[in-house]
Amino acid sequence: MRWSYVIPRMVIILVVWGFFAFGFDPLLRSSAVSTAQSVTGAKADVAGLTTGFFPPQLEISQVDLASRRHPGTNLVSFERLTLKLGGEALLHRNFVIEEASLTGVRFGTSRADNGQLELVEEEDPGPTIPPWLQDRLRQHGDEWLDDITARTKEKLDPNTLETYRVGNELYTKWDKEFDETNLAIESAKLQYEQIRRNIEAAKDRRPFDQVEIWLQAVRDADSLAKRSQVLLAEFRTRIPKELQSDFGRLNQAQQNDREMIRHSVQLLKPDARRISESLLGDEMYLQLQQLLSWIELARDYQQELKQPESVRHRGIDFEFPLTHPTPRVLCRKMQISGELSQQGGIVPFSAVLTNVTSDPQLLGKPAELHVTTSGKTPVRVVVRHDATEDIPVTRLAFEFTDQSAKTLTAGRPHSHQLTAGLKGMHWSGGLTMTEGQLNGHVQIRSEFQQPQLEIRHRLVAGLGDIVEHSLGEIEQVTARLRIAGKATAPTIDLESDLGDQISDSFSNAYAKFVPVVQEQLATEVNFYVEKQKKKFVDQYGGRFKGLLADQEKLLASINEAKMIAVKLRTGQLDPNRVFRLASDTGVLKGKDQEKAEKYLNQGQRVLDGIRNPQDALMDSLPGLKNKLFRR
Amino acid sequence: MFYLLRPLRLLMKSLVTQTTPRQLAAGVAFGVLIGLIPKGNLIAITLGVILAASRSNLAIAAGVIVAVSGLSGFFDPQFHAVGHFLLSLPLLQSAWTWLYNQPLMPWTGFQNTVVLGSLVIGLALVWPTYRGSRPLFEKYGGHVAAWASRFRLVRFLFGAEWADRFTGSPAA
Repeated sequence: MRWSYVIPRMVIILVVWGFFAFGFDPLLRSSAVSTAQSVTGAKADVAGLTTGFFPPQLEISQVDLASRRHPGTNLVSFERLTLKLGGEALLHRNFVIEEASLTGVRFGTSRADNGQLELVEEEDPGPTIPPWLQDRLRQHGDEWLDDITARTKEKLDPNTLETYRVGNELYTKWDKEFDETNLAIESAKLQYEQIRRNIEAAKDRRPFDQVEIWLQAVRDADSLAKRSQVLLAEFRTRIPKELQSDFGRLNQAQQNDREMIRHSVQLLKPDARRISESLLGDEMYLQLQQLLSWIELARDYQQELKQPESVRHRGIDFEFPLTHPTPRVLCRKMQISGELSQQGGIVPFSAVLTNVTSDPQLLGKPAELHVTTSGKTPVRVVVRHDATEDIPVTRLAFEFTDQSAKTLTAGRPHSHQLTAGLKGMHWSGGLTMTEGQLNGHVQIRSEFQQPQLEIRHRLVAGLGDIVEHSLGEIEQVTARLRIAGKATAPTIDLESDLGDQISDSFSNAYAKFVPVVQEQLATEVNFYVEKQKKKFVDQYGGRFKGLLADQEKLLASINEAKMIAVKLRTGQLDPNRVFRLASDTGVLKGKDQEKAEKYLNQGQRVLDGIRNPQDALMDSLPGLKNKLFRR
Repeated sequence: MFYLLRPLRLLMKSLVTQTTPRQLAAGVAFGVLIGLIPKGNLIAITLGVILAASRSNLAIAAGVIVAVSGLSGFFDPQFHAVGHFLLSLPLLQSAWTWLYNQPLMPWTGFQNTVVLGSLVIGLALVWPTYRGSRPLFEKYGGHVAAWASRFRLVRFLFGAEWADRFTGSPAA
């Protein structure tokens, strides 16, 4: 044998051996790191990768996959992954993992570096809670307690009663009425004063002018007297009648208020659904969100496996029928163990993943993941992804009991607030996802403890104690959240006997509370009505009498003037009466008065002479008589 | 020093010198065949092993493989057409199916149109290439050796007298 032949072949063999002995695993490790980094978008550390050919197996140790969204944190890390491949299948170019073991799995562990591949601006990770769930969380605020107290307050607030409204309306009406009457009297007084001023002004005029002015004055007085008489008559007859009618309205409003109070209080039963959503919605919706994220994860994982292999650009592969068809990639069973975060603590978990494959239809079996956690709150989760038919169906079921106490709160501190405790919450649920359609439920069963209701409003404060006592009788609550429809905008329906029980408690409390409130309100209304009436009489009675007296006095003065006018018009004027009136009204001064008396007496004598000329002539002409008839 | 360099000298001898025109022509033929076939399948690896096991000139084969691999992509449509024709032949379906179900056979990539097409064309080119290149090596073999001896490394490894013997000039 020639060395020139042997040595090159030996070198080639050595190179090939050397590659598989020292280069293959590092190359594979490098490839694994690149692949992991392209998937996660952050650093991937693989401490070791070892392959074995007889039997074919792969072992990867200490893998840390950094989180892109949380620098300095690992998305997941594990201590060891062992894959035992089926040799027979491998000869046929199928990667069948007969058995796999993944140990030391941990999530969210910290890293020495930030784990980022390059300094890139942090992208908005998007909402961790889908929009439909955010809407849902916003919708079920705990304003129901505010609503119920506000409605109770509104219904029972005396200021909203009809009695108050009518009372205030009457005040306004009668104020206006009396103001108008007062205005009419004042106007009449002014006219009367004007007449007096005219009479007074007439004293400086000639006698005939004076008479004319007086005649005009009495005409005005006559008109004024007529109007005043109408006003007085109306005031005397209409006002008491109308006042009586208004008191009747007030009494009717009182009756209406009593009836309204009776009805309103019965309508104050709170909405059970809103109560359930307010108290349990957050917990249940977030649990639902957790379920959805798990189910999405399962589907995404399956989708990743279904991605076509590295596309071969050169030519096409013919698929010939296989005697024993086997999926290209198949993991029959993988044991997983590690630790995960649960309720702020770290708990160990174990899981079994079976029948994960790139061709579920060929395998004819669904992929399943069974997860069980230990610790205070053991959780059991089963995810079953069935893609054996054309339409894949993913089902998820879970069950756990949360022993920690939860506090339910509705309302706000220092306002209206309902608090209660839940203990031993048993969660269970199931969710099915088919082509973007969701259908499932989340259910809880729990003990109900220590309900406390704090209501600040004066009228409703008494209600709190009664409701609290009634809530104390609730021992257990159950709630069921149903979800159906499109995964992007599902229809969610929360049912719970807690809402019904609390609503019933409020109803029962109202049943006890209503008579008390009714009595209280009836008393308030009665008191108010009486107060209104008294106030009314006090306020308007005096004004009425005063106005009435004014009117009567005015009318008397006007009538006096009217009488003069009547006499003047009929020619039965008694000068003495006129002068007397003028004297009485203070029109003439003292000196003028004396003159008037003098002229009055002279006039009288003239008139007497007219009536008996002989005597008058004799009396008036004593000198002449003596001269003519000397006796 | 001598013992250290001896294996390298022998390797270089086997690669460059002490080769006949037949070995060089075989190297070229193997190079064309392997160069045409896409790598990363069991056929290419098997042919590589056969090449290594044969007494062909490995250096010239490696050079031809590199050169032809760079050009083979331009002929993929032709390879694909031939491979598709063969894989689609009803007459051969049972044979292909039987082959596909045999262990390791899927790793050969024969089910790929380009692989099969390039293999068939490559095999068809082996003999013509061998026959065509052999007279050339017979005529220009001496010139190749002279060209190689000009390299300092070759002269260092083989020694001056070796180089002189090939070139026909006496050692200095």
